[in-house]
Amino acid sequence: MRPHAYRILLSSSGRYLVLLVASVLFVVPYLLALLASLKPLNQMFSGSPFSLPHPLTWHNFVELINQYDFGHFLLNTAVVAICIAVGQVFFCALAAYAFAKMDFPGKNALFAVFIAMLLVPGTVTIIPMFIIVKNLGLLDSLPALIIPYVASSVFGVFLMRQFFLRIPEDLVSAAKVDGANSFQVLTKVMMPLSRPVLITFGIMSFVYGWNNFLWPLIATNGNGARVLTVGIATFQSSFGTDWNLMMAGGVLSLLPLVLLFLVFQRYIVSSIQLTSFR
Amino acid sequence: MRHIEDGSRSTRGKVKSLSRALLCCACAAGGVVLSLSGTAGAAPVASRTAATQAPVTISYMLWDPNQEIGYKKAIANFQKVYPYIHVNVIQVGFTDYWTKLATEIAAGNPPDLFWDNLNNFPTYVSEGALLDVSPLIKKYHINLSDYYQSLLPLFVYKGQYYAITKDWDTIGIIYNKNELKKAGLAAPTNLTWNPTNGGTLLKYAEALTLDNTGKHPGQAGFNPNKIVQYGFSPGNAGGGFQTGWSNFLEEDGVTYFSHDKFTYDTSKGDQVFQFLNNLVYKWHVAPPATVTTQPTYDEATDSFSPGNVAMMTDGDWDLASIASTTKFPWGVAPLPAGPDGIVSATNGLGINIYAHSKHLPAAELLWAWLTNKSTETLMSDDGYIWGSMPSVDQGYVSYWAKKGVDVQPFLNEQKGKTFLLGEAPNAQTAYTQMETELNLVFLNKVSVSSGVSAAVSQANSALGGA
Repeated sequence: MRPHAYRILLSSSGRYLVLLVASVLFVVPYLLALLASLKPLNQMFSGSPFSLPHPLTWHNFVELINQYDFGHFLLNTAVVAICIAVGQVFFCALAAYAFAKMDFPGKNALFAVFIAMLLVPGTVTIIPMFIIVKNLGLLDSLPALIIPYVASSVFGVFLMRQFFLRIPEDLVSAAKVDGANSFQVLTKVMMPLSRPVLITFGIMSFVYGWNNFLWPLIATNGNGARVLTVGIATFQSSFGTDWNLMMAGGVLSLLPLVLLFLVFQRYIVSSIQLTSFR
Repeated sequence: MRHIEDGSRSTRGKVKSLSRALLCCACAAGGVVLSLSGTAGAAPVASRTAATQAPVTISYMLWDPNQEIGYKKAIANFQKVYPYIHVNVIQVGFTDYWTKLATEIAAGNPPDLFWDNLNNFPTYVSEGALLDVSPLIKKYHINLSDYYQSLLPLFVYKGQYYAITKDWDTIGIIYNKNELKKAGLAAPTNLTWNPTNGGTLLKYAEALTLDNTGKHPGQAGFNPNKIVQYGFSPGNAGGGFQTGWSNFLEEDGVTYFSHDKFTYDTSKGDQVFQFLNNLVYKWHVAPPATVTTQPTYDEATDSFSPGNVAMMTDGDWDLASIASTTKFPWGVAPLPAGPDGIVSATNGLGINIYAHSKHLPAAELLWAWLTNKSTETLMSDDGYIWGSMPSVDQGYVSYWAKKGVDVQPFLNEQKGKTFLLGEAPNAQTAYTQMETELNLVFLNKVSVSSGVSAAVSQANSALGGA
């Protein structure tokens, strides 16, 4: 082999080694959760955490579904996450279109103020939000988990506006010449051209809605509108933690997100590439 | 300290007129009095009047999923007497419980009843969120002499009752029977310790500590860096005050908390902390604070259940957890006696009523029901808690005896010398600051005297409202 070929082999081996180590670091917590979810509680604390479940048991999952109503929580979580994702994509696209392609007085100043809202930590709005939702009579219901988030992503507006700015003005003008109104320009021209960013942001919103914990913890009480994150947290008491159930709940909560990523990874990667190399 | 509370909301049905509210109170009081006295005719009488009440929904928040089962049984009994009161039980994990409760109190919509602990209740009293239940004690004819007198002051603040302690706990030694048998040791029922030479506790701990070649501390060739089993864990960590170090302080005659201040920063107190550190760094019989201290702080059972520790101090609230996570036989022994004998921390939880509840009459009724002897008996007999009345203790003892565990040492300690953990507004903040400083002591990063002194002064300034 020529020296040049050696160099290539070495550098690519090094790269793969780094990637391998990184992927092990990422996979280990999931693997631990999966192994633990298949063990009875008294096996979790005896032997190595990486030991294989013996006997392998589905009991934790069965208990979650039958005794703790996790099937219902899963459904609630899916409804909330889907509504938040669809709503945020739609409403953010409307605002982003206005900021990117429409002219009105004070547009840039308004956008600056709007972006400044990113500086407000979400937790400081929890109590006012709670009072509003209580006064609307929505506490302990799925709308309480959806409505406050459905049209409120500053980051989403920013992301989409940046993307829309890249779409040539001529396309907008051409559509308008053909008689399209602003809404049609957005839905027939801008959105189809922005599919990667819409899907990426949709997935980000979905994951946010799926993982949201603090607000559902405060806004819901019973099992009726309980979501997975809050359901999992109930296994932790001051008198001990049901780690096996917690891990099984974690695995149950994780699977849909992994599937989602596998299905849409092409778009996610392409969107990230687009935004990085612009 | 282990407990806090939260509440729930959803109070929908409304008592619409004063007369109805009064009627509700009257029949509720009647029902409770009758049920407290155990009169067989109580339920029919109460039901007859209750049938005329408008339906009302109140909420009750707690953090323990295990006790939730017991309390739901008690509430089912309550609803047989008061069918018009629906109770929404809300269970929230311990850590998140306080976030939820604090937010809901701030927003004026917490549960009507909720669990509380010493760290938090004075703060809520000072915020005006808790109902003074002193009048209810008279109203519902609650006989305070039925309860452990040592526990009654727990939820008294500035002379007023905000709850009657619903349960109690003390601290003991949990030990691995197999390991003691292997080491040829008898059950550790009368160990002693002193800050100078460690007493028989140290002898036991040395015999139970093993390195990877099976050698004990003190033996030639013992390698303290290759320990596979520690003999004894007092849970050395700033956060281990309830199950660990405060007990050793009191057993050596050091007062942990007095007159709204932490008071253990004395030379004798320093000696006790030095003793606890010696167990780790000098005698090599206890796990190092890198294991027992935040952020890697493991629950006591996390080291005990896999067999990494042969004996540990722990509270009785962990018994169910130990039973479900261990694969070996284990037992309970009293704390090792210090120079001042056996002195255990004792603590309990209370059920508070939200002062501005929209359904106070119904909330009071439920509170009285959950405080009465029938509920205390039910909860003890089913092994959920030590009820706060001496008369129900035997139920809890029998429950664990059936499982092969003798819990009598906890009870003996309750009847012996105990001390209460400190209570004052801002206690939660004080404990957090204290924990940070003491962690440095246990990690051996600062000298004992300066670390302990910093912990006490910072905690006391936090209590002062800093």
